[in-house]
Amino acid sequence: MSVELTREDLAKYPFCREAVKYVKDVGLDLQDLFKPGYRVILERAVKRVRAAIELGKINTDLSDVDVELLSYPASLFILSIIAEPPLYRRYAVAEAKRIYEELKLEDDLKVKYLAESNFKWNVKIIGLGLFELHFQDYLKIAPSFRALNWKLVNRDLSGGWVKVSRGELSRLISEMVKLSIIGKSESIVSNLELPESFRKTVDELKRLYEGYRRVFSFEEEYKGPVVEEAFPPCIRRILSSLLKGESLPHMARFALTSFLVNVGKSVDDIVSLFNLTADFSENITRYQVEHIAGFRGSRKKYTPPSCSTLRTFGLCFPEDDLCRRVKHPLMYYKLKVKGRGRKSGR
Amino acid sequence: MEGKDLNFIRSLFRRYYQSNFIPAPRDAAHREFGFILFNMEGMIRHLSFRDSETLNKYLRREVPLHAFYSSAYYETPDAEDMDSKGWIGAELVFDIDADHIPTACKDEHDSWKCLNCGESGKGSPPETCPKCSSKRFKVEAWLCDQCLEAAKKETIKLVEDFLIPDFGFSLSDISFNFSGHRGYHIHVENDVARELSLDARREITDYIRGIGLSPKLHGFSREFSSFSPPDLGDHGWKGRLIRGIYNFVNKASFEELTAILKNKRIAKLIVQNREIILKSFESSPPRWPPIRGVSIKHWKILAEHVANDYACNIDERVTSDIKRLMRLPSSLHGKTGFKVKSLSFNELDDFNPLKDAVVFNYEPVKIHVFRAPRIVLNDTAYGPFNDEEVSLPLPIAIYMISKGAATLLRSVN
Repeated sequence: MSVELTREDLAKYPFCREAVKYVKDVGLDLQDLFKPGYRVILERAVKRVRAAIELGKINTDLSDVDVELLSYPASLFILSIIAEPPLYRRYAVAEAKRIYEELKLEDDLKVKYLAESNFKWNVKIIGLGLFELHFQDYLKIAPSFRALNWKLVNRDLSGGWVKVSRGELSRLISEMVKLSIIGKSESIVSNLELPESFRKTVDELKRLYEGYRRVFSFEEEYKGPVVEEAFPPCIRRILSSLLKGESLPHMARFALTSFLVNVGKSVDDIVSLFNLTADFSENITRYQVEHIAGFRGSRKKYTPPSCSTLRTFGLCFPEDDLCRRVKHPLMYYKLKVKGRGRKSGR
Repeated sequence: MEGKDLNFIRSLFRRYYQSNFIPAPRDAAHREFGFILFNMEGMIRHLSFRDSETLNKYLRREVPLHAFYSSAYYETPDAEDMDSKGWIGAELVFDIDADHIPTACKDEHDSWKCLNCGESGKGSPPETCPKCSSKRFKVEAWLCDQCLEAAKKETIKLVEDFLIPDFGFSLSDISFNFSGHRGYHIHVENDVARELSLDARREITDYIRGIGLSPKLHGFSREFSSFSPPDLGDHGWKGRLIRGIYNFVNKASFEELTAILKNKRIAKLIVQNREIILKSFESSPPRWPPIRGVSIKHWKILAEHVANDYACNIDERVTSDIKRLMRLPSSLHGKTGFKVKSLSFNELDDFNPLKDAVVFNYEPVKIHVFRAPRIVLNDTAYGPFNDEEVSLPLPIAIYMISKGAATLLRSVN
């Protein structure tokens, strides 16, 4: 069944075929962006990128649907000029969040149509807000999600079809868009002559990005022996409750596991730590630890939450001066390990 | 194997390859082939054959001890470097091996020795050595009719419980091979299977092995207490879990229940109310059994317990390896002399590998057996043997010599 998308839809879902065709038909040349008449589009595009950097989130603005739609390729163009792959990731995540929020409110037919026409997924509507997606398509995305409820073994699977809710299908679609935006970072080509005014705008975004870069890219990996004495107080506290056999909230488990993985503890060691908890299941714990360690799914090693997130979850217990100087438990650890080395070297 | 033993086995293999035509696998030109030859270390791989004729010419000339082909299709299968082969797709492959299925008879015929401290024991090797915690073992595993039967049952379970009902594959997409040793290889070949990524294949193996299974997410959670429990007729793991609980409660003793629930009071309640429990699960829609003191928490514990019995023991490394070499159907297994035999699903039921995968005659051969457990061939039992001279049918002699458990005394010809 075909679904007629409105211009508003194209503005909300600028990744879709119809939107791409519309932009092409308008004949927007990226060089045009520098012309005075296109200033609003460029401004909106800059705003999108800026929101992605500062807030990690972009809001849909439908006050002028044409501007909204055309600003999407324009912001990808800006990204290609800045040419920083981590920024692509940041931007992709922000767009995916926006798309997810929009999709959740759509009717079932439109969600199904978007999945089918853009990604060739096999989708069936089986009830209100309830779908079946073929496992072949489901497994293109779901393995990169960490939560156990995305694991195929925990889904209803029958005759090759996986049952998913509208929210879940929306999440899968938005993740697909995210991956395709990230994919674009691999083919950055940009040696365009830029007008002075635009150059300035880009430089500003670049500076903004540099300022945030440390916050969202922990690219540098720590390699060395595990120094337990250098663990930050938050991690020490979680660890000691665990060793006492207390049950831990989800965030505490995640913070501990991801921290230990990043300082070089082995999966086996970490799994055996959880052995003491009442609801321990080796099977599930191992799976989760392996996922966080990046052996499974997205193959991405997870970093622990930042200090501010830990604070939000009531897991931050600053004890020393170093806590005040860092924004991330791993930073604490790195500095502390370095400090120890210096002391013993003296 | 060396000297006269090696020459003996090689002459028999040569006779086999010269008098039989080995059909090439589908789309052979896009597959990689690999071989292990007699008296040569390591594997010769990155070979490609455009058709059955060139493949058979090679087999007759080289007479390999082992023959393999890739489950993957490549643009350039003979490129030396895996990355430049140009991966197109791969069959979805499952390996079911007696090694991964717990059978009671293993204590009689298998043994292990720790490569670190020398500790040894009967049966399958433990995860870690009980003495030194090392994970490296030398394992001695033997062909056994009971183990092979267990592997066959597991193969049927894979197809009837998972591949067809859950994944929606059809029998015409699935082919079966006896591995020539201790198990079966199951190949799924269609458009869906071919394009599955590594991560997708890993999810499929986890599904079949029940890894990461959370009964909570299948309705065994307090949050679902106002809903019906899963239905006995439900598909997938939901149905398997509830049927598992039903069957378990139906026959479990007080002692078994106590051991699992670690609670005598609850175990007693379940035994006393067995009929009510079964009726509640049978009713339409099913209801949580209305027994004071027994809650969803306890059903969840039972679900976790039964999950293991309903999972299928496949070797996860084989399925999640999209560049793996598999044994070539109709070739001979160099450790046994048995044929890697293709079967249809219907043939599987009556298939007796220790008879139907035999390609040599039963002429007696005199050999000296160092040590071997009892083995059944064509429904006749031989052995066990301990440092003795015996006259045994050729297929058993080949098996024992290939395994290094015997040496030839006099050749048949």
